Amino acid sequence: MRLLTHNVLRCAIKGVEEGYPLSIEASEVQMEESPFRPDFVKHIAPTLNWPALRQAVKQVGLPEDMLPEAVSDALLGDEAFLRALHRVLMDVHVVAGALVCPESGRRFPIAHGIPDMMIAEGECPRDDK
Amino acid sequence: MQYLLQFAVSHELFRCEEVDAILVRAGVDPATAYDVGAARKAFDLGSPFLICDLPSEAVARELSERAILVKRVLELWGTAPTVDQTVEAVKAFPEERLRPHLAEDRSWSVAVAGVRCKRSSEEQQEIRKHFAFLPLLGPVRCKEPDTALYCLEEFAAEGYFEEGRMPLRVYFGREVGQSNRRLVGARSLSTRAYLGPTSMDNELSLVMANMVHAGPGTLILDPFVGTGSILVAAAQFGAVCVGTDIDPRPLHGRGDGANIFSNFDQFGLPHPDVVRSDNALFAGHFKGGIVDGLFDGIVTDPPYGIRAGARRTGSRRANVTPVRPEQRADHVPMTRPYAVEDVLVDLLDVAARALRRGRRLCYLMPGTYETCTRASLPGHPCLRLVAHSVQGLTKTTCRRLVTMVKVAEYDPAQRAAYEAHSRRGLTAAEVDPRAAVPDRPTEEWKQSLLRRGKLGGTSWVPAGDTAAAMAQAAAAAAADAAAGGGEGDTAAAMAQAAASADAAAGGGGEGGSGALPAAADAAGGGGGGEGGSGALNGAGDGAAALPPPPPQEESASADAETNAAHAGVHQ
Repeated sequence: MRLLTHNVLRCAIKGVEEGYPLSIEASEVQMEESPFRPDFVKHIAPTLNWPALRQAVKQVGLPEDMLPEAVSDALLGDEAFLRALHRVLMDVHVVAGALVCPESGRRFPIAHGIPDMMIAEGECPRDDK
Repeated sequence: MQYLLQFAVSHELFRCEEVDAILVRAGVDPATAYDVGAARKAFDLGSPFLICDLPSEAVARELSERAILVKRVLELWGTAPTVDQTVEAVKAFPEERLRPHLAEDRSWSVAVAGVRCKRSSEEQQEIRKHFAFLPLLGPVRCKEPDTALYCLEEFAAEGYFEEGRMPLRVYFGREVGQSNRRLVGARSLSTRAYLGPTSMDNELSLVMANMVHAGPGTLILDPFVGTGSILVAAAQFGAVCVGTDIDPRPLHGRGDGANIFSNFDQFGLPHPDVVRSDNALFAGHFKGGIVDGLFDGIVTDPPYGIRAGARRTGSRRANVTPVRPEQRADHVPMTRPYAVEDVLVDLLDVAARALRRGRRLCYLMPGTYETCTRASLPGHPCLRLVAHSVQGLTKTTCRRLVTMVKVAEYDPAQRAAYEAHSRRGLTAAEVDPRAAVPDRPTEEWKQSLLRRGKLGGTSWVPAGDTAAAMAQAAAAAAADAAAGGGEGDTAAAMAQAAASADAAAGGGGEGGSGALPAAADAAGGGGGGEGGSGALNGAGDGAAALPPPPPQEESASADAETNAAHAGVHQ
């Protein structure tokens, strides 16, 4: 699981309001360098939830100051920033561990890099949509 | 500027749709490039050619290099019903556009190929000589020349065995770009490290990736990812991929370590991000249901309960016992059946939410020829149908490829209204004029589907048809057989050519297989298709359809001979 995906995952069980951002309890993290694509990073940056991304960076054990506190248009022209953001979004893989809902404490295990977001039959929201 | 597209004999009813998708991606209005009605009619009659008016060579190269169903693209220098008339047409082609490609520093080759015809090397040489007037100043080179010229003859299927038959049309032009079709065989399912029972064949996956404009820097989602075969295709075009599935088995894979990532590793492609989640609960699993739009494309083969049953979270029972905390770690969430209509309604809802505006959803659905109508497709107020293709599977069943584009922002408050709308079926106002989807199952439409709905090159006879159709099918089968025999003949002829070339040129040549494109064309040209695989799923994709390549020294020597033949153009 890349942090790009973590940035959009939430807890789906009934009774949870936000269920976001999920805390990462990583037992195995891999760094895998991938080709730098500045266009993709610029394209995706406006859709990111920045506080959630900064929290994730800290939880996977990367230096907290890897990303600035807020993102601005000026930063999107700065190659060093784009490289750091690309590394955070694309190159960090949480291979094993769990995601934990900040509201309910519900845990979602991660194995082989695949988070299991399935909820039990009793946890389904009423209209199940 | 006029360009000639030659299509592979495969997925004929997907040709216009794929070309249109690539043109739109390149910023060209397909309506300015060609007349879609006339093109469909020509394909229906068996032609693999389409002449397009394109604004630039860059667009032509894009078509050549992206379109999976396009075998080659030529800058058209001349076309006429006979070779002699084509020569006159080429003489009338503006000299200033020819010259740069024929200069002293440009290596060149002239290949003679045909559709439904097989030419001996002497006959090919005769035709080549007609074009000796061209001021070809550079060196001859068969393997990857700077300027690859083609003379293509198109014949009718009728009279295949008659002596002295005349072509329908002759085309002459210069090849632009390099076809992407090598990806089809090189990465076919039979080469894959990891397969599931419903893995999508590589050719159709690549077409689907084109339909959603997968490309470098795009984010593509498959919400029913399975073994990831469609995302392999999207990743080949440089997309960043995300896949979700409710079934953990194809994701985590077999005990030997093969899993959804194996196929990506095999081809050196970046891994997709994979999440086990339920598409029916998409808005629950993803933040705010991603109302603002995150994905640049959604491409999927949803489960329809035919080969893989669809499931969704929840119990069949009304009263569910809550899972006790101490049991939670071992608890396997229950799932219940997921009705096909619900799968589609939810898929369209996910697309309307999660796509960026102007981006596309492409999905497959099964059907019968009678039900291939507009109203049998679900609609959505935020989505518009842009393409609809049908692939024949058996004499009654088929598979439909549906492509929609997001045209309006999603309003979560409207969700119930959207769902009711989806269940009513698609209305005429939600369909692009170029999309081929009939209001009613007309007999003409059905017959056209049946004619083109071939399975890997074998013609089959629709139920209850007349004796005439039977006879026609038999003739086609005979032509197929002739083509099959032809391959052997060509191999033998090539071996012979190799022997004589060895004697003449002492082995040499530039190495490689320059003579092969023309030879392969001639071999496969008869009746049964040009060696395109066209197989549907898993088994048979690739392996069976293509004749084995000749051994290296044979092709190198044949190359030498062809080089000599090319040089003869000027003697």
